[in-house]
Amino acid sequence: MNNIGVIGIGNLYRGDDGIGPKLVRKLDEKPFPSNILFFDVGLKEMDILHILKDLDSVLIIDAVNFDGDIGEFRFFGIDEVDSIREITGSHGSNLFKIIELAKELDEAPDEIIMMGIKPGRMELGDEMSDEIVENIDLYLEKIEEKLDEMNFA
Amino acid sequence: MKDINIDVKHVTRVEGHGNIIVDAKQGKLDEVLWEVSEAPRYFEAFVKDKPFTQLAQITSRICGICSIGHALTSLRATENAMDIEVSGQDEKLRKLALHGENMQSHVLHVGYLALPDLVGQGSVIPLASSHPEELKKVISLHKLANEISRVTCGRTTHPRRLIPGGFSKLPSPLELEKLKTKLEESVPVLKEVASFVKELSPALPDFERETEFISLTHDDEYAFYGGKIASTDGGITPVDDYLSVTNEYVVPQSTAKYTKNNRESYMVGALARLNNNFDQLTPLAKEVAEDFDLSPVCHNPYMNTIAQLVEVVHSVEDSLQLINELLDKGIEEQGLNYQPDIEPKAGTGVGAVEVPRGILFHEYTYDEEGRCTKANCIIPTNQNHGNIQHDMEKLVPEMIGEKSEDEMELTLEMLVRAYDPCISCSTHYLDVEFR
Repeated sequence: MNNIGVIGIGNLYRGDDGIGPKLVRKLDEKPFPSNILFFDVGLKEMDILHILKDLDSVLIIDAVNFDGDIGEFRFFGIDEVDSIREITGSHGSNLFKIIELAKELDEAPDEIIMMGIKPGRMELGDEMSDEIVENIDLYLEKIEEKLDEMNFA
Repeated sequence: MKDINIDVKHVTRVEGHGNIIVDAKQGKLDEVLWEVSEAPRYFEAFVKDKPFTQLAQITSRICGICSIGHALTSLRATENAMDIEVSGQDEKLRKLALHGENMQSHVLHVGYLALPDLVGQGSVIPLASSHPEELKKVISLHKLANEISRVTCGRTTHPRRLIPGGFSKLPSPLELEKLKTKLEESVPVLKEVASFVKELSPALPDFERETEFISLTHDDEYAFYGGKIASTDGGITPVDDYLSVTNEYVVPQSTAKYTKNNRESYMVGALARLNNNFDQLTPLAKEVAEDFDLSPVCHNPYMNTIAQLVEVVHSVEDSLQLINELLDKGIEEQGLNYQPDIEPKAGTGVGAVEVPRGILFHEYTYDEEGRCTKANCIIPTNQNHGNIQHDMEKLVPEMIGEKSEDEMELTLEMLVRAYDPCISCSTHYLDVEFR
């Protein structure tokens, strides 16, 4: 059976930046087949290197700024992104570079899908934008549909 | 001679934001500045009125890299304030947890952040094609370090099991056995990584400036978890008198407080620890240090990266020793979600622990109900800012006329990176444009 990973990235104490970990924690409480594994990496993006190695496909959930409304979400592949306008991250690292590194080392699955959710407030604190809070059930539903697709592909 | 204008906004491959500014006209240096634009964090205010049982959890959030170190420093301050005892077994497990974090942070810095400079690359990614096997070894060490944290603290970051008086949950002997096997297997990997770094080390700048090195020291061990404050200028200070060592002050170019002791600045971190406690390194760690001609007192700040590598070796060897001692004695039984029976009392306590970037202090005052009335935290990176500034003031005139502006810029960035500063935690969101 293929191992499918769902990874949440972000800072739970920086408003909407924490949406990835928040969703992963909620999903982890639900019953899923044993080949679907959940990882809340928080701010430690580098830890993705250790996770990708053992997966056959992966869904990464993160706050992603794109032209759209707050709370809007998109599933996309890394090759669908034209440019990364600005990236901030721990030690100047960034997610796409870490994935690139894993691919260069031949330690990343072929299928890597991003779920980007457009953030609004990123201030200190765990309060999220209303547009995100009211969509949480929708995000969970869409993730479950995506995981079904990935699992039976 | 050409004018030089260097203005590096946000040095890369460090945690947080710091700027380098150099202005030189006709070969004469006008200004060199290490600017830190760190936003206040207010943790000392957050913990006011909070019960003693919550402080380690809250302050571990100061840093995503040094969360175990902050939690342990916090616990030591609380335990000192209330005379709470910790068993020998739990102290060993805490030391093991600290080794995990130290190793995790050092491997990240040496392997992912500093190595690219030594191979003339802007990031670690080109190493994946030029040195894939070496990089895989670095990654395996990082993973092992995470495993130490997971086994001891239940997580790789923001530990939940560290509580006043001990642990809420202990690792099982089987988990420790498995960890021991992995640590043993890592020794040859460590040796290979060390010789790979050795090959590249001639690229480290040959720069020296005499300064003071401050770290913890302990009669019985290479100090990480408690001890007294030692200086390479001489003198031992009890941890309770830490303010007489740190002497914080403010400078116009920085929102972070600077510190000084016997001289205009001092350095903390792996090199400071090694300079003060070299003889207490484990045998293989000492061998690696000697291989790099690294011995006390080394005044080349660029060698901090090598001192970190030496400490990774030390952490592996000492972790093996700690696990052997724990397994020999057997792990004591304790209930699920164990909470020691602690009667809070009023008092003040200081905790000092060596975290990856140097000596960390927390001081708390509690009222009779065990609520915090006052807190003070002094982090290692702030203790290094003054030393970075003074290094730059000596280094820049030495480079004028000798190096191009680009070379100067890189050498200065490498200097900042050598200190492995952790300026502040930030958000991590991506900003993309779709095709």
